[in-house]
Amino acid sequence: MFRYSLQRLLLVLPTLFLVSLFVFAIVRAIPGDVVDMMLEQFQYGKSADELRARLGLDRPLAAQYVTWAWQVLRGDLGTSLWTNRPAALDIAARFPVTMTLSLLSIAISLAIALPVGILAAVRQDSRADYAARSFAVGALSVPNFWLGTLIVVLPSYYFHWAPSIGSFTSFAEGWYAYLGQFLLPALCLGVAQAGIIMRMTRGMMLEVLRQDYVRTALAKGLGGAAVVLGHALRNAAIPIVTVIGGQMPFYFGGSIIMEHIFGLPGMGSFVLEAISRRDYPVIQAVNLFVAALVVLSNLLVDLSYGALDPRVRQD
Amino acid sequence: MDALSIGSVGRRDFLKLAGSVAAIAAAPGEVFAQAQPKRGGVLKHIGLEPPTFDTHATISYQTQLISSFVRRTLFKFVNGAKYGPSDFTPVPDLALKADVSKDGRVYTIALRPGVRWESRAPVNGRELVAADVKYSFERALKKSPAASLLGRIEGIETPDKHTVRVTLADAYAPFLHNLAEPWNCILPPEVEDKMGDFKAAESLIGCGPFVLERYEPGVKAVFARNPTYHAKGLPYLDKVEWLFVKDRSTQLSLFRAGQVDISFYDGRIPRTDVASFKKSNPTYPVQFWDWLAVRTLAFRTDKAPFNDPRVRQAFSLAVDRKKWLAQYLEGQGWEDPGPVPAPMREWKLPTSELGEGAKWLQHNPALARKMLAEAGFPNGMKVKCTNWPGYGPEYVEELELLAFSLKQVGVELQIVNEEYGNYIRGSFLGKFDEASWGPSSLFTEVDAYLYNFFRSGQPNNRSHVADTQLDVMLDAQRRYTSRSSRKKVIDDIQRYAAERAYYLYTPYPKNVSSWTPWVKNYGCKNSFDRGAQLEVVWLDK
Repeated sequence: MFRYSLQRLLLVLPTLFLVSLFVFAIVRAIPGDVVDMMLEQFQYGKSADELRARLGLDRPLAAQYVTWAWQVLRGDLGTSLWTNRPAALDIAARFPVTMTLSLLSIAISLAIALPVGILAAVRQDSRADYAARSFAVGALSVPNFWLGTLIVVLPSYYFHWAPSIGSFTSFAEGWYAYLGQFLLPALCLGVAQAGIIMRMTRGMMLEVLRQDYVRTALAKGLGGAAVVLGHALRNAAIPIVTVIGGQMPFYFGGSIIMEHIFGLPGMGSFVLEAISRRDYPVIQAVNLFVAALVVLSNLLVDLSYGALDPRVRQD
Repeated sequence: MDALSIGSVGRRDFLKLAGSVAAIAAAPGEVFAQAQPKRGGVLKHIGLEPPTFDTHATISYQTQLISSFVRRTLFKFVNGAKYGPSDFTPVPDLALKADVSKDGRVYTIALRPGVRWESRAPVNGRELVAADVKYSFERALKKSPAASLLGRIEGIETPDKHTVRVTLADAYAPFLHNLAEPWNCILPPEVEDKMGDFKAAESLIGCGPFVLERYEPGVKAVFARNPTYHAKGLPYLDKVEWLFVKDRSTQLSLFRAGQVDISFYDGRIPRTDVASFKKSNPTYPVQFWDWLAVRTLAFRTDKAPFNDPRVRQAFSLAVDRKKWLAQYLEGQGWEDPGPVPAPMREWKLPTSELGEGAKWLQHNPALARKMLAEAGFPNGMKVKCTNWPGYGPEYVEELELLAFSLKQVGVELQIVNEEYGNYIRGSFLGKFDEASWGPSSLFTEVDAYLYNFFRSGQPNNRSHVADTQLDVMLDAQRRYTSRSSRKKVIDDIQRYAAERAYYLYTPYPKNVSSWTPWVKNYGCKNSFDRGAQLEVVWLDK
């Protein structure tokens, strides 16, 4: 297991290097130059050359990359060209919001998908199965931005009620209120994912429930719940965990829309504004940070295989 | 010193107004005799988060809006329910009065004594003095993209601590008016000394009606009443919460539910939602009001085919402005042929007085086709037209309507949607191949609609107009401090511009705004000075 973990950890390094190259290049591929924009829209400098030199954008791209990468290695993610604030400060302030929203969405997805998926598999082709499958298709078909808008708009029109938006409560002010403000956006984000995970759970459980060892366990007199949850579910878990891990970018991406609709001060709205202002250091910092998170979450998924399946550990 | 002209206000009027505003400040309750103002309460207001807090480093109106709560200008425009949205009568703010020399070049501004900066570091409640004004003007001249709106300043002197003397190279009629624009606010030099610049929220230190109590990036800014504000009794509100909720449907839902009092930075609600809004919230006031951002189709008049006036005039003849207004805008808007926006009534020349140019404002598709044929396009033409669809669905519909109108005369308008960054740094500044459509910025002085759009070399001269005769007139109207003389030149400019059709101005709607019924003395305004607009508002819950 140690060797397995080490191998996975070592693979993270080249991945992050490639990601950093990609992030650095893709930011500069966005049409529109920050210097033009600063000069023409906001007139931050006297001439393009002077401003370019001031921002360090007059040097060759490779030199700019090396400088940036060295800064990042020293823990400096750069400073916003517009506000002079260190990007790390803003990320530190906004990341917990996006992370809470993502984790709560995952929790809601799992809370819906696992029991419903297991039930559908155990009672294959029953009414419960059909209902569960219909739910999955429905959840997959409903765009989360539409659901979010509906939740905000309809009650205000008919009942003059709207979710509390525009007064963000920090964790320090009360965990209950803090989590409460994420419930509706997390529900919108979680429902669609629940559909995917539920289908995967049902499919894997059906496959596992037909295995000989399940039949043997039942024949030996083990209870249904023990067999389903203790044996079948654990063996069906690897693909399910893989799906959840693979969905991490979706949770981050989806949170942008939810943050927008529910007025949450997360990373989504932050990076969107940075892109519209061509704030290179901020865009690079956020993208690299999110990419690192996705890589790490995939690493965790990989490592969880070992915990879930002894055969992986032995390999 | 001689007659002072600020927009439509003469020197005597101006001084009279100064007196009346001093009276308002002294006894605010007496002015609104019909309804007693109440002190207290928190106004929840959907606002906009600025890219920076430095008013001299940006043309962004988001910055002007948020800055105006705290930082103030020497003069301001009248505000409140009884004044029209385009009433730009200036009244004193940090200044008491201004005198101008006979030649219109020297302005002597007397500051209001006893105005104090906020009681916190680094200003610690010290008195605002002439040196602050000099510092702010010099900084604006050096850094602000709007510096040209101060005219050509030759020198700034401070004969004593409450007097500022500004000498201009030439007389510049809009000078005093532009001192009331929020980008021209007075800044304390200590803040730049201590913080290096005014980019951060912490630098929002001033002597206005409110002080910044809290700024939560991405969430809101909370402004509290400034206890040392110079206008006694104002503001009425204890606090204003300026909320950065970005989604339009969420903003309206919060408004419908009564969770916010004003649903957009200027109270606007979408025109398409008015009917349903009246149904769901029948007690909320709904007001249609004049808007000063004109819509233009700009041409590359520096090259073919739009260097031929017949082509531009034919385009204008294709638009049925009366039908556009009556059917699409349901009468709630303006046929406006530009360039002066119709709600600027004191400067606007009626179509009937436009002379020869008026004929290009008629709807005459047959003549349009004939003129296009004469210009070498007997089979019509294709024109690429850039725009930014992000302005909203109403704007997209208007452009489609324009395309439909042009199609009737054989012109195919090929609409090219641009990303905002590209649009604002490209097409908005005249960098397009053939044509570009979109709304103008909002200006409060007529000069900006003329000089910016038509003067050769100006960045907002999107049609690339380079007309020496027009340049002479544009420069001249700036030099006339007498309103009547200036009006004559501006009339001539409108006639001249109409004849040459350098831009095609399309009809545009009035704005429609609403606010919760307990918000009192709120007046819609064509200005980004939100602080001054809200200092006279109170809540009657």
